[in-house]
Amino acid sequence: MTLNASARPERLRHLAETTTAVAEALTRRAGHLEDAYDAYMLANGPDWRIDVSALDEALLAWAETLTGIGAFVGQVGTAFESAGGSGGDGVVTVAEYRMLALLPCDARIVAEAAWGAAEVDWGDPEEPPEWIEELGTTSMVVGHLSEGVDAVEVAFVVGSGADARRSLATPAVLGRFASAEAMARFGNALGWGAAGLAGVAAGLEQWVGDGGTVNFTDHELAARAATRGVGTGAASLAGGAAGTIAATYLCGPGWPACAGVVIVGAGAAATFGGDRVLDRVLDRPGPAQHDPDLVADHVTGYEPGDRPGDVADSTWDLIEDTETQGVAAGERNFERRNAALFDDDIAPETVDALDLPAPWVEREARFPPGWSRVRDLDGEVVAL
Amino acid sequence: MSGRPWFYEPVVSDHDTADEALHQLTLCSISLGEALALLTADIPSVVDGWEGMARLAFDEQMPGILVAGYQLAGALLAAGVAVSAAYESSVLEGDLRARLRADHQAELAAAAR
Repeated sequence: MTLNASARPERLRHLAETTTAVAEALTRRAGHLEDAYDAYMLANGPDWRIDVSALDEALLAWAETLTGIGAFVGQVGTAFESAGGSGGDGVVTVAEYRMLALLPCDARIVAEAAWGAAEVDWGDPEEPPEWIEELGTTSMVVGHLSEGVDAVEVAFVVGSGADARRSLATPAVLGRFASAEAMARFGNALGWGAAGLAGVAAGLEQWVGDGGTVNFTDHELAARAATRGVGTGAASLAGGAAGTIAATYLCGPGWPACAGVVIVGAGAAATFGGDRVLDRVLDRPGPAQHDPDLVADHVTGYEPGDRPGDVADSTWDLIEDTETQGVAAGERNFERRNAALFDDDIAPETVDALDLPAPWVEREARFPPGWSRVRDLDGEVVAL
Repeated sequence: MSGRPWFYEPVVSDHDTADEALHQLTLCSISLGEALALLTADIPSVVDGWEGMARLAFDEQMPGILVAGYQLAGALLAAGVAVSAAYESSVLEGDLRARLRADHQAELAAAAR
């Protein structure tokens, strides 16, 4: 029996590229840490500094380990590609032994050593947030409603502008509208609203979808979202207008089914066509595909020489939180270390051991300056 | 007791370098966190459809690497706290010694009178 192996080689290579970029960024980061630590060690006395020299080395070691597994994954991807194989949806399936034979020696040893290990459930790939889908559904419903009104207008209203009037076949439900003109205005408003909503939903989806991919700068994100939003809105408007014109000529008054089919069909065609065009213009990176340079910048973050204004608020918050915790820990450490010095009644052994000056011993240290009680060496209060 | 008392020994600490070390430790932790978030988000897509011994090798090693990364990110933050604590402690110690010195000098002056 031949065992098969499968994978999406492209995604494996993407992960290899990402790990390389991440490791590069962390190495850069570790360099900044080392510089800062060297200066810290020089300027702070041995009793007043913390030895964290192992941490930059640990960071470098982690980056190196990540590079190693990334390289392994990349080699596996290349082996799958070289082995040929078949499969749909980007999945390549080959005989396991063929793929292993194409791996470099050390990678093959690693793979073969994993025989019998358990597969990990890594969860599902991330999907866009639910609220975006809901917004998209809402825009679609409003769009269909708008198409419905357009269809009703074509079927039951004759004439246009001030001459517009209901045809003989107008159903009673249209009595809600004061006039055929009002209905036309309502239809227009609904059409614009549907187009706007569709544009906003599509733009947001583009923004959120692009945002997590680490492939675009902030300007590119905004431009792509605007292009998607405006394009989708324009396609929706164009589809509505084209459908109405087509239905007017093709169906005319008294044929609601015909008008409905033509208008909905035109709307769907415009949306489909618009999406295809926009997909071509705004080509989207594949799953787990990132721009390595942007990944490196993203992971490196704020660097010496950057403007403080470029630091994200969340970064400042964490720095401040770290500092606040440190201050509290430093105070606790100081108080614990020197508790004997601040006792109301300092033990004679402490006075001797620490060579404490008499005025210090006489003063009850816990009172703030100016409000000291003075005690004699026997501990009696002699003055306020 | 010979020589000067211990509280005449200076406390050697420097705000700017301690602050910069704290910043760099925190920024390293943030960078590592960003890297881990990116990898954690990517891996489900990468392993989708991946089967075979190479996948098992990946599954055997990658969770440990990620856990080590999270631990290191925590250690970097803890080190930042420790650097800040050491500096704060030094400032308080410097104040304490200054007060002890002042009292000592007052004692010497009183004895000389």
